[in-house]
Amino acid sequence: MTTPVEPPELPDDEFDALASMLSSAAVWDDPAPEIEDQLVAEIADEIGARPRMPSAPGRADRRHLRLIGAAAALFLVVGVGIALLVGGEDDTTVVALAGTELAPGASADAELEDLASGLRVVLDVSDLPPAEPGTYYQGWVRNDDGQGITIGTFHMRGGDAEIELWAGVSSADYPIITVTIQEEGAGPASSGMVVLRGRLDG
Amino acid sequence: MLTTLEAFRAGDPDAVRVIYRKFAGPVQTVVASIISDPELRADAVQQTFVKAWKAASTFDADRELAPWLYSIARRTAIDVLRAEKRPTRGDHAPETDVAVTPLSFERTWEAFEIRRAIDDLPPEERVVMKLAHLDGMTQSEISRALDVPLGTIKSRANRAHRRLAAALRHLVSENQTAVSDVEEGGAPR
Repeated sequence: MTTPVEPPELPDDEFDALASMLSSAAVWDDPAPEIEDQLVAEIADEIGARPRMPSAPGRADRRHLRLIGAAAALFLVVGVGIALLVGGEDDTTVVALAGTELAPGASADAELEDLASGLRVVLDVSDLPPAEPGTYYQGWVRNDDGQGITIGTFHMRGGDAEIELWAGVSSADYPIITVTIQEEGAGPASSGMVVLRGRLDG
Repeated sequence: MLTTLEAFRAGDPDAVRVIYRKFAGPVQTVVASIISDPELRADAVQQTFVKAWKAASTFDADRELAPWLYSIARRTAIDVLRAEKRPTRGDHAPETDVAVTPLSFERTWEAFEIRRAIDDLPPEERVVMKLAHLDGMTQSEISRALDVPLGTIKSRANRAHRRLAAALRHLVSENQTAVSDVEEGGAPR
């Protein structure tokens, strides 16, 4: 039976780089221990799973009211956003995209047109912040199994604009349209961070 | 049987705790990179998870949860700080937005990743790393402070550094040149 051998220490330059990263106080900062219970209680309150005890209005109560207001506004936006607007005069269909929690003020109309060369998607985007340096937006169409096909990328650094994107698949097969925020150099897969979402129904 | 994410969406307390315990440290690190006030930090951390719960239906379950939570944490911290810096608060007329200049998206994401790697360490290695790199203690001092033989401390430190270097390989290689140009000394090995 052999004794496990300790691996050699790191090279100096690797160690220095690691030590530099570990010297920040922020990477060791621990959350206040009471947050976990407060979080569970707040979510329980939100879903009405337990009765609220009357108490004097304080910071938490004010925040609670703000959150309820924000949630109501979000549901309104999403409800309106996913409403389908079908153009009756030509072969184009317009789908409203609503901003998610990652971009709650944003919205877009996606004009879909099935052409001989593919599906043309024109996004008319409003109030989506410019992508920060090192990031970009990416459009996707998805089917109901969650499989996505990218339809192009953009950054919005010039302000609100129309963006022309193309898909090689049918909108009937891929009825969900999303826009994600992506990080440069992180690879071609979706980050999962959806900022706009809409669905072609019918 | 519900997945943890599905149970989280439904507000199941156990699932909320699972998600919170897994990501509270990294979220705290992102928030602490942006906000210095402890009360505001706590507010931002709690709000981050509440927002995540509310937005869970928009999350693609096939994707990694970490980048999504990171993004919510960073935005929430900036919003909390911006709200705090406004000259007036409450039900007043619309206010001018206040500029907040946090660390870049990339730097706060790095901090998030570093914290995840730290939280993955065994507790006995984590404490050695903290005492060495945050408090600047030598291995002899750590040995005395923890009442553990020096040889054991050396082994734990070596293993922890190996684990961290492997988990953060992409960041370590990026930082090697910059560090060697500007720093002398550093944490004791």
